[in-house]
Amino acid sequence: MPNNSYSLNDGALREAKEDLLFKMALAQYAKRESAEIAEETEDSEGPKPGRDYETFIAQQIDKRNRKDASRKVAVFAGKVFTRVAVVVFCGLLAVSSAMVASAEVRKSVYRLIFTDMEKYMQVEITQPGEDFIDPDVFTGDHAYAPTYLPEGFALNRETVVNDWSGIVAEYENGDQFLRFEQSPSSVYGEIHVDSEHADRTETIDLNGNDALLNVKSYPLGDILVTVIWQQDGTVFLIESNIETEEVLNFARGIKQIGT
Amino acid sequence: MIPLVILAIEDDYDREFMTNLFMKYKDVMYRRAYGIVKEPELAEDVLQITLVKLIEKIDLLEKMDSNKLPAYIVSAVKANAVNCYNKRKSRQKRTCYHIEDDNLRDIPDDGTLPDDCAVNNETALRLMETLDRLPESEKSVLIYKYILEYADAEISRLMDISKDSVRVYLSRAKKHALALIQEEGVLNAE
Repeated sequence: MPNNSYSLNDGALREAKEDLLFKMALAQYAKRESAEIAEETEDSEGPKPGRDYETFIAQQIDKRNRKDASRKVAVFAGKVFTRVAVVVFCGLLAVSSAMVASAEVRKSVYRLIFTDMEKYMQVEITQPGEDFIDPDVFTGDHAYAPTYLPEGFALNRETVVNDWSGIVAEYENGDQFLRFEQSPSSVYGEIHVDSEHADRTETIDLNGNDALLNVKSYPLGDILVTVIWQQDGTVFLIESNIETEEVLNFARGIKQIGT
Repeated sequence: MIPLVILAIEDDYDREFMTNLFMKYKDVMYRRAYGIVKEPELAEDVLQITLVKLIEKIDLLEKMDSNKLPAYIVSAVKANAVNCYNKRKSRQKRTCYHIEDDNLRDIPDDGTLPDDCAVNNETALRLMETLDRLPESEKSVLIYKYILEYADAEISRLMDISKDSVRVYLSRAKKHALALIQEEGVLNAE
C-alpha cells in the first residue's frame, strides 16, 4: 500500500509552517508597535490617512494656541511662496533668455541647471594685480569678471567647464570662500536653491537685473549666501559664507571684460 | 511643510493620502530616524528616502490595516536610517548592526521548526516577545521580511549583503528566536 502521508518532517511543509508562525508573530509585533506609535503621536483617535484631512488639520491647530498656529501658517505660506518664487524666477530667466537669443535658439526653451564641480577642468590663471579687474585669462567672447573683492580674499582656482560652457572662479580667505560662476543661459537645465528654512529668500535688484538672493544658516553657525541672476544671455551664480552685504558688493562689481 | 516628493504625486487621492500620512507621522518618523543616525540633516535625508519608498508602496499602504500601518512606516524609517548610518560609517567596523558580530555562531544552520511546535496564537505571542531579545540585525531582517514584506533583493540592499546571504540570515534569525522559546519549554509543552 503506497504511503500517501505527508510527514511534518518534510522540509517544504515545515518551512511553510515556520513561515506562518513568524507571520503571526510579526503581525502581533506590528500591532503592539502600532499601538505604541499611536500613543506617541497623541492622535490615536485621528482620522485614517486619506480621509477627513481638513478636519484633521483643524483639530491639530485647535490643540495649539492661536498664536502658534498663526505662526505655523505664516511660515508654511512663506515656504510655499518661496518655492513658487524660485520656480517663477527660473522660468523668467529661461524665457527672457530665449527672447533675446538667436532665432535658432528661440526654438527651444533654455534649461537651467546647478552644475557639479567634478565636471570641470582646470586652467591656469594669473593672480590679480592692484588694478583689480579680473583675470585676463577669461578668454570667452562674453566673459565677465569681478571688479571688487572683499578684503583678504585671493583667487584660489579657476576652472572652465568643458566646451567653454562656463567659468567658475573660487576665492578664499582662510575658511571663507566666494564662488563665482558664469555660464550661457543655454547650458542650464534647472537651478536648485535650498530655500527651506532659509533666513532670507527674495528677489533683489542687481545692476538693473532681477536677482534671487537666498541666505541660509546651518546648525553649526555656517551660513550660505546664494545670488543668482541673468544678464545678456549669461547666468551668474555666486555662493559664499561671508556677510550678505559683501557678497552683494562682489556681485555688483561683476562687469563684462572690455567694457 | 509638505515635501516636494509628495506634492509631485500626480494622483489626487494618492497625494492626499501621503500628505495625511506625512502630517500624522512626520514627528515620530523624524524621532526614530534621528535616534539612529544622530544627525539632524541625515535624519531629514532618511525621511525623504523613506517617503520615496513609501510612495512606491502606496497601493499597499492604502489597503493596509490600521494595526499595521504605523509599525510599517516606522519600520521603514528604521530600515533606511540603519542603512544610511551604515553607509556613513562604512569605513568603520560595524558592530551594532552586523550579524556576524553577534552570538549566533553556535546556532546550527541546518535545523528547522521542531515537529511538535503548534502554530497557534500562544506560540506566536511567545515568539513575538523574543523579538526584543534578538540582536538588532536579526530583529531587523525579520521585520524587513514579515512586516515590510520586502523581497530578498531589497533586504540585501538595506543590509549590504548578497541576495544569497539573505536566506541564511533569515534562517539564523528564525532559529535563534525559536531556540529562545524552546529554552522556555513553550514548544515542547504543546
